[in-house]
Amino acid sequence: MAMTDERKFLHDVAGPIATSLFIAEILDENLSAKLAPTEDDLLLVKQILESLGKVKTMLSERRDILIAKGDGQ
Amino acid sequence: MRLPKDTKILIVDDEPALRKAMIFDFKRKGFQVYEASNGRQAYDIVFREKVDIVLSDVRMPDGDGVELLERIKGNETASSVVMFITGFADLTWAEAYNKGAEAIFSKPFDRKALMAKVMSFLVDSEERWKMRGENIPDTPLIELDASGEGQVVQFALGSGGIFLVCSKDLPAIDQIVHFRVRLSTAGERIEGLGIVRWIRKAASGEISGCGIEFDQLEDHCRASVIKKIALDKPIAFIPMRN
Repeated sequence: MAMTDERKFLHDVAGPIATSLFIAEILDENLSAKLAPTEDDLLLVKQILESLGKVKTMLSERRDILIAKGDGQ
Repeated sequence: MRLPKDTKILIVDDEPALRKAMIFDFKRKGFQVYEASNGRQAYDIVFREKVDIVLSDVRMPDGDGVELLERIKGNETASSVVMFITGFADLTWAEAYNKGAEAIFSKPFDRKALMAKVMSFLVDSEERWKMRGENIPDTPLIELDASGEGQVVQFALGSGGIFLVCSKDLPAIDQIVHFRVRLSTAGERIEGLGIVRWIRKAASGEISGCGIEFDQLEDHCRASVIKKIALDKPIAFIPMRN
């Protein structure tokens, strides 16, 4: 993948990940605040957050590499 | 301190799901929240509603965030704080700060950090930059002596931070640093803790340096720095040119 194509890809994928992560965090807070959330529900949301966190880290690392190569910020 | 219920915040993003989620989050904190899906729509709301804080995406159809920022900063009657929430490589952070952005978050961003940043604008500078007495280990010191007569200027003060020339190793973005700028031989100095928000490596016609967002300012300089910012009304962080 050419660097500029990758830059566009990272830009395009960052939006939906940001949205998913943002909503999942709110969901996690809402569930935790409920009197009787099921353990399964809490676990599922934690797993979503964990997975999205991994994607976020991968994206950040790739972004840093491209910046170090001098392709934007 | 201003309360969220007295603060108007505008969320600008062409992605409806993210916009709605952010609206939900800020409403829950008590803010008066407005929304727009592009820069042009946002500009009308900023002036009609006298919005205090704008959180804007950068790349959007029908009026992008950069154009919105330029129009707001170009209008003397507008006093909105503008923060960018941007995808990758829309513009460099130095460019965004140079245009007057107060903060920039890369998607996917840290939701709590964004909320903390917004909340920080509800308190006045004296309170926001007060020393908190934390022990932050391994904080590198960036030190400048700008006290000599006729010396080349090595720093520039911005509304939220400072640009410092770095002749040695540049710090990393997001690194917490201790900075100290000696202003006179009598001992006057600007000193505190800050977060490196952008760096500039020396290129043709430029000097290396970094833009540091103030986190805490020492008691001896805080009032004078705030006074100077109020008088000069500089942009947030100044990418100083030779």
